[in-house]
Amino acid sequence: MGIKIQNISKQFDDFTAVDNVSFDVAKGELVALLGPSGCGKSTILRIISGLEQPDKGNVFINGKNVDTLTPQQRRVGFVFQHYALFKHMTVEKNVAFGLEIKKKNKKDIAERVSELLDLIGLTGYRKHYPAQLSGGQRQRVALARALASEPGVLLLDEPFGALDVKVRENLTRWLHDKLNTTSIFVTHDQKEAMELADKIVVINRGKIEQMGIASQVYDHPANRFVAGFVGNVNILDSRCINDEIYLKGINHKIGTRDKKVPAGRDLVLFVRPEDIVISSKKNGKETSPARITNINYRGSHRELDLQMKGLRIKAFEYKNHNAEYLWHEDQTVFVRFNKYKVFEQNAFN
Amino acid sequence: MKLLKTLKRKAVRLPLRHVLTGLVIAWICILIVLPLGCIINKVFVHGLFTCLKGLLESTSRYAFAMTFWLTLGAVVLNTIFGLVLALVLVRQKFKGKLLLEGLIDLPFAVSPIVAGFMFITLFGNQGWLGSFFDEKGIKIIYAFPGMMIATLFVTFPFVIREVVPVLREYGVEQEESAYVLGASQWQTFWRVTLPSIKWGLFYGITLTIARSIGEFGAVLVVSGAIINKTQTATLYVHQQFTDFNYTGAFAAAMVLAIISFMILTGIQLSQKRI
Repeated sequence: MGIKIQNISKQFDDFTAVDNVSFDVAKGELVALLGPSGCGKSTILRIISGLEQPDKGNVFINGKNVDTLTPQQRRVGFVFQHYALFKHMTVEKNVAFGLEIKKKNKKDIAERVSELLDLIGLTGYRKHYPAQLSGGQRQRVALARALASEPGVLLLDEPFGALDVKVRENLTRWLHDKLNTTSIFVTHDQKEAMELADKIVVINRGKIEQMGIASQVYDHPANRFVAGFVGNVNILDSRCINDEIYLKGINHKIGTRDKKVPAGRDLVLFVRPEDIVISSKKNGKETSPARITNINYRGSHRELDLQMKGLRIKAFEYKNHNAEYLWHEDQTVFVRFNKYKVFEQNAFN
Repeated sequence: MKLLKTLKRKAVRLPLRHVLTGLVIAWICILIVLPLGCIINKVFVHGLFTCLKGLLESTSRYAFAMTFWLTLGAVVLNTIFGLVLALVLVRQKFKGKLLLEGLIDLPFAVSPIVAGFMFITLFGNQGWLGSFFDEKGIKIIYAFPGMMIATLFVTFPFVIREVVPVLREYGVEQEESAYVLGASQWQTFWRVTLPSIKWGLFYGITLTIARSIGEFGAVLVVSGAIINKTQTATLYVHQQFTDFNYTGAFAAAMVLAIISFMILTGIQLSQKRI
């Protein structure tokens, strides 16, 4: 058992930061807390570490209730958003700090520090100060410092936010492959969460919206918020008439109603750009005409802006089996929504 | 290379810059260098040996010792209370915090003479606290305790004012990391917080020393400037001067000026590191 959080709530003056949140993290699992800024995800991390006291609820670390323990006693590793390295100490001293506080003997400390510096590839930087390091190097030092005293769990607050893409990729791979600690990291970047986490917890306004592996959250969003927040998506007003779903202002049928969707109501339709199928000919009732107004090259694919009557829709185009792109600007094509999701218009979520 | 040259040529030149530079130098000369040079010159005119002999007299030695103890007291107490107050002001939220912050600057605004009178009314025989101490046989006014209090008052804001912004900019994340790594609050203060604010603190302390040594007005009022009893170095200079004993006055003044100069160097050093 790694981390267990039960019915945690936290109020700051009249702002509810965390609202009755519960989730489990299995031993060795890497979980992402994903949500927009100010959604309470960092507060959850601080509550687990003991830096913040919850108003209600319990926290268990490795099966032990830690509610009454101070941050010093909880044995968690914490990597802060801006790393919070001790600026007046060298890399070596930063990493050794936790061990020196615990009064480990000098030889063991030196060994452990060397081992960690080797692991993060900064052996040559022992005597450097944080100000002399790049963002990625600082980040690694912060990780090494957190790992030095072998914490039971590792908590990371937006650990990759300030890093450029390449460095981030290296670090995430490193974290995933070399580390086996139970970890929670906070992020607002859904890509990062999907690439890295074994499980994603989507949080909004202090509440859990959905929990699951990346494909569940991406392909089967539980509600409007998750559908809109995770991944690229077109959000379109639609309507259900006689068991058939139509986009507002367009007479073509998009699809038929599934049991969960109430009939005769205003709906919101979520369709991902990669789930839009484009063809040159109309085939089947569910295909609507659209004009390509703009094409943007994105490296691995192209992003098409489609004008469908009054609606603007984004679609992705991937190369065909002959490794070429088919469409050009100003072309009229037919569009089908291969996969989409509808939610009630007025539902809060 | 070519680009570098064009860049250099394009460096903005202030019109009349020679005139302006000259003005600045002249201004600093008149205000600072000339008076300092004058004092040093006077000392040599009167004879360095005579002057030094004057400084070794018991009255003068007593006055400098007095200044030393007052300065030491101000440094120790203001460092401790200044740090505590700065930490409270930056880290705690409480009602009336703004008012308290405003009060901290009061010693800057109040004339030292007025401050002196405030303490006389408070600690004098008839004062609120003075009558209490009087009954216990503790003399505050016209004695060392009163002078210490006056010096503390005028030097009170320096450490706080220098440490607060440094502390604010430095934030709490490093301290929080220390807690999570197992360090107690006390360990965190000594190993993390203090080293991070040490240059701000050092600057505050240097200013405190400079002000304690130079203090005249408040100490004059509360001490009564009794020779060999409550006379500090600045009061000694004043007394020598009014007694037409210029040799003594200039010698003591020169020593004070040299100390100030050393403090100035300290300030320059610490400012570079902040």
